[in-house]
Amino acid sequence: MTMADPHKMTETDMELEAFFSAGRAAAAEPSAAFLARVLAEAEAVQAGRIAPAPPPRQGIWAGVLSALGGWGGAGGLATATIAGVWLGFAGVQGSGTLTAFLAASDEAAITLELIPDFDSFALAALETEG
Amino acid sequence: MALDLRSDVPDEALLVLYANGDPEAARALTLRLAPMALRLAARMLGERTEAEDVAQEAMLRLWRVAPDWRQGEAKVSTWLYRVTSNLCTDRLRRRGRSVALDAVAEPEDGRPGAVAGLIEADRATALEAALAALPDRQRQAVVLRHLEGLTNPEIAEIMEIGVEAVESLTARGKRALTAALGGRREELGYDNG
Repeated sequence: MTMADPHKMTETDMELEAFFSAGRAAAAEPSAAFLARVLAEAEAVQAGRIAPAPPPRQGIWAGVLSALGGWGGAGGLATATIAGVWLGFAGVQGSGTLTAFLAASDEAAITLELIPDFDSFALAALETEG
Repeated sequence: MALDLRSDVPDEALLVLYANGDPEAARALTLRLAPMALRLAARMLGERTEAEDVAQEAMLRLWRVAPDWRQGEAKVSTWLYRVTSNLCTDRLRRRGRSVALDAVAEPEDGRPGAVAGLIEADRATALEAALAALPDRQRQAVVLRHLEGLTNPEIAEIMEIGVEAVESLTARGKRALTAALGGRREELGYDNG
């Protein structure tokens, strides 16, 4: 016997197919009363006697997103968060420019740093006391 | 009821016409799709009255969703198969499997017609009983593939699973059917030749 053709039905498949064929022939036929009920509902929806489908319910995350102002709002919030994290790691050194400017304009002024670290805060406190 | 006078118009276009108030579209869609929903529900549930309830509910959902139907997203028939399938699954879960099995009449053994063989109705009844014994998902896949004649990708979309999972379900379902029906070959018109 040669190798089985994968496209050829096996004997088992053919036997099952005889059952499937009988099953297809014995499919449930709709009664006139059933079709009339379905059509009556179709006409009722069309005439507005039955309301159309409500919008799908929002999940919890969709609600949160909506509260943030949609994808635009959430995107802005995400950007601000990332910027904050970045400043936390890398922004301390860069804040010296503004500090230097303020210090140069008035030597007696209290040191102001937008993002103070511990040392500059302590220095500012000493200057205030002095 | 009149014949489908819009047989050349696709379901999706008919649904738009329906949503726009065309009464003929309602009739055409009813004649085209309600029998399909009923057929699937009857095969899934094995009980006529319950199948009619499910098919009517699925059709009602179609009517209600019509104004919001988005063209090109899915075939109406695929959508209806999915909704009908899900409604059937809900019913089966609620009532438990035992009722489904009991609801299917067993062919009577030993009657002359069975001995003479080749009785289509008996084969159909035997198939129905064997299908009812399958796990829900296997039965659904086998019914959609071999009785409704859908393709595996279509079934995958209806059942919301991958094509490979569909193939696996139908293969397992067919093996179980073969085992269940194998013992009945002689009485259903097969000899061993």
